[in-house]
Amino acid sequence: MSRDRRHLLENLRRACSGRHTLLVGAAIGTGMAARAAARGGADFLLALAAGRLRTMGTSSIATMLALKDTNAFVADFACSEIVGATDTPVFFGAGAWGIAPADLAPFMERLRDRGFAGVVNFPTVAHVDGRFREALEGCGLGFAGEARMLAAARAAGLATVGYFRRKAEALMLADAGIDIYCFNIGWNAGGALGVPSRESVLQAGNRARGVIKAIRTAHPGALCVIEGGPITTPQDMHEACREARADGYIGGSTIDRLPSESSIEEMTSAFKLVSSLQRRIDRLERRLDRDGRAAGLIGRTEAMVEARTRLEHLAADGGPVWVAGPEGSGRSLVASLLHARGPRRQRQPVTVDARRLEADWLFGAEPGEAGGRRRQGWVEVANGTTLIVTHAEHLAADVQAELAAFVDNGVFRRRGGHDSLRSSAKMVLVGTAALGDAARDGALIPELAHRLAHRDIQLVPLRERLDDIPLLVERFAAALRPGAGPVRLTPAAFRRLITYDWPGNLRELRAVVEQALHGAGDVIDAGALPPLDGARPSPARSGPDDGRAEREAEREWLLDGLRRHRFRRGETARFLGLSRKTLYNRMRLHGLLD
Amino acid sequence: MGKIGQFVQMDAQIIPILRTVAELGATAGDRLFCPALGGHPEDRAEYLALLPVQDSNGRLLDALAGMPDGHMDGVCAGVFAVDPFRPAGPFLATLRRAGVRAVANFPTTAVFDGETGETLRAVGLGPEREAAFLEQAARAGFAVTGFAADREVGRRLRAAGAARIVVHPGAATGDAARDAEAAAQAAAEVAALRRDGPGPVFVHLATGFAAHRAVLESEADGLVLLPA
Repeated sequence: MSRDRRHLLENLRRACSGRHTLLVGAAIGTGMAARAAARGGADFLLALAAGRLRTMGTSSIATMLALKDTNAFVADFACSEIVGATDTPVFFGAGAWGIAPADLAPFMERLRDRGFAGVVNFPTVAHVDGRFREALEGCGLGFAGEARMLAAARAAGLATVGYFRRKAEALMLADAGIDIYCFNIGWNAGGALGVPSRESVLQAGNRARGVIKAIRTAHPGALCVIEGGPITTPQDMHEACREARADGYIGGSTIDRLPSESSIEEMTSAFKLVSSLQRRIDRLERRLDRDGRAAGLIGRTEAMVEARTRLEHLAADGGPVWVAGPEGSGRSLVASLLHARGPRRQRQPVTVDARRLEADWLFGAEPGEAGGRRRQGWVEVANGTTLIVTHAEHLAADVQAELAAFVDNGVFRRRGGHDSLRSSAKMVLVGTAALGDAARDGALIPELAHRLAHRDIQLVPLRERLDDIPLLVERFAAALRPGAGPVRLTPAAFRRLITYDWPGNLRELRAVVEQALHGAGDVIDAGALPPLDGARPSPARSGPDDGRAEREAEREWLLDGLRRHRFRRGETARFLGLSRKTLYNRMRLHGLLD
Repeated sequence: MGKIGQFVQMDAQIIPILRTVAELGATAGDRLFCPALGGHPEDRAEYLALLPVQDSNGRLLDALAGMPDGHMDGVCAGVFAVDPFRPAGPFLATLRRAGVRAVANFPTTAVFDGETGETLRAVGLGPEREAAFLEQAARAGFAVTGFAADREVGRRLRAAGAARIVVHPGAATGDAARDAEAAAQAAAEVAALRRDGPGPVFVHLATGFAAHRAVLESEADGLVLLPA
């Protein structure tokens, strides 16, 4: 916008010539406020000491006190921060008290040369009343001096804004040929440093109206704006201007202090709250971790939290459970935990692999017409404990039907037998597909699927819970290096781990951690990680379900048979359907001969 | 400013430039050092010392900076006690390092009356802030003189630790009748504060009140005089 006075005034008149348009001047004290006000569409800026003092944390009225040489103060920040920062014309807030009459002309020339478009009499004696005001008027420090100052500004080709509070002051401004009359309603209300206003917005507007009318009677078309008092919002401004018939408004505190106070307060509060909430979130997460570790399932992801919740719930009773998930996702661990956290945890669980389970091994068999031996089934062996059936989708449909009946009432018959037998074995069926999918695909017959409904735990692949990797690494490292300090991943290592697909899931991650820990301290860097190319690192240590559980189950099965037959090997072998030699070999293998 | 007895009237002189006792010769008495009054015409120096044509306390510190040791002995420093940018503690410590042992709240916002005075009070830039500054100065061991416009503020300043109160009659309007009224009112405030006791109560012979000196000093223990 032009800094030429005549051109500037034409622009300002045009800006407020519309039916619903008002001039808006922003009285500010920093470059930041100037730029923001300009971006907001301010028609002109006023660089005032009050604006600067407000940003320094004091009230606008401090501009009336001997805290600064106001002209030097404004020149300092306005020249360096405000003039030239935007295209919006800037008026210099000048105090007439500090300029000797002889210095007025050179002072104005300097302002013009520094790029100011105009001058405004601020701070002004108009803000002083009572006996002090009379004293100032009496000794040459009154309003006439300000009018002279503005006249000098005009003579130097600068536009002028004249602050006034009384009609007599307005007339002096008129005599000085002022360009924009600014009726000051009073110090601004509102905010932490505001001055309480004694009148309403409409009352203030009405008071301004009388003064503005008098000015326009003498000078038709004079640009008149209002400022201060109870106006604290754009709506207040609109009402006051409408009431006063003003051409516009100059906002000081309302444009910088009030919005800054409230937005800084709100933003700080938000940061503080977020911080406080984050601490709460951290506490809850730590609790979750503790609970997770206690439950044996590590992870903060929603899927793991859900699995943990269901595990706690389903372990508590003797009912069947379907555990599903891909290889290495921790299904065996879940099955073990279902047992360990259930009422039958006193005895070791029995684990069998459905892929290697003959038809009559689950429920046992009676000798048929062709002879043979009585065979005790796994259900019977697992009486009083948990029977974990891995790869349960491989169970034959008829076995599944028998299983469905068994989980219903705990009663079963050996194949070929007529007696109804009871077992309190808790059935944990471990499969790959989710329960619904297994039922749809026909891997599970409907009867069994119905009995397992809402009694399933679904584990997700590691690639779907990458957020849990740091926790899992820490957990695996702690298990691999008991007593050592906690291990953490560098960001680069973490990035590598989360960009991998993990086809081998937890088992693969554990193997990777084991390799990475070789020679590593408490920090695992990307360089310590083995190649992650899809080829599974060979696990250096067997997973929890690799053979050990089956060996345990076989040992338990043998022991149960032996106890039932008072360790008479012949009767036990016949009962278990083994030859004496096989029984002997198996007993030796399991250390039962001693 | 400690030589003033309860029954002996003695004046104190406000000085914008500090000279040695030798330079002052026989006029050496109580002195209130206020550089903010310097460089201004006599009839408006007290007003300009209050107005934003300068940093009043900055001028005091600048003046103190070049002084030799002992120069402030027996001299009270006039402090603009509402300065929001000079926290009292560090400011007082600076004054002490400069050799200041006595302070007064001068120039004082007591001169602001009417709506302006009320507004200053409302935003915490009035007499209460001055009293708080003097209170802290007294606690820090400074001898304190308090300028007050009325008995209420005078009592507050006494409670804050001001050993001596100076009643300020305010600004002179130039209207003889009204200024006489103000002088009489100031004398009444002095009398009331003296009745309260203890400690001397002075009155400030403010700008424009020369014609009313007799009324002002009628009840006071002494006058505080502007630079001649």
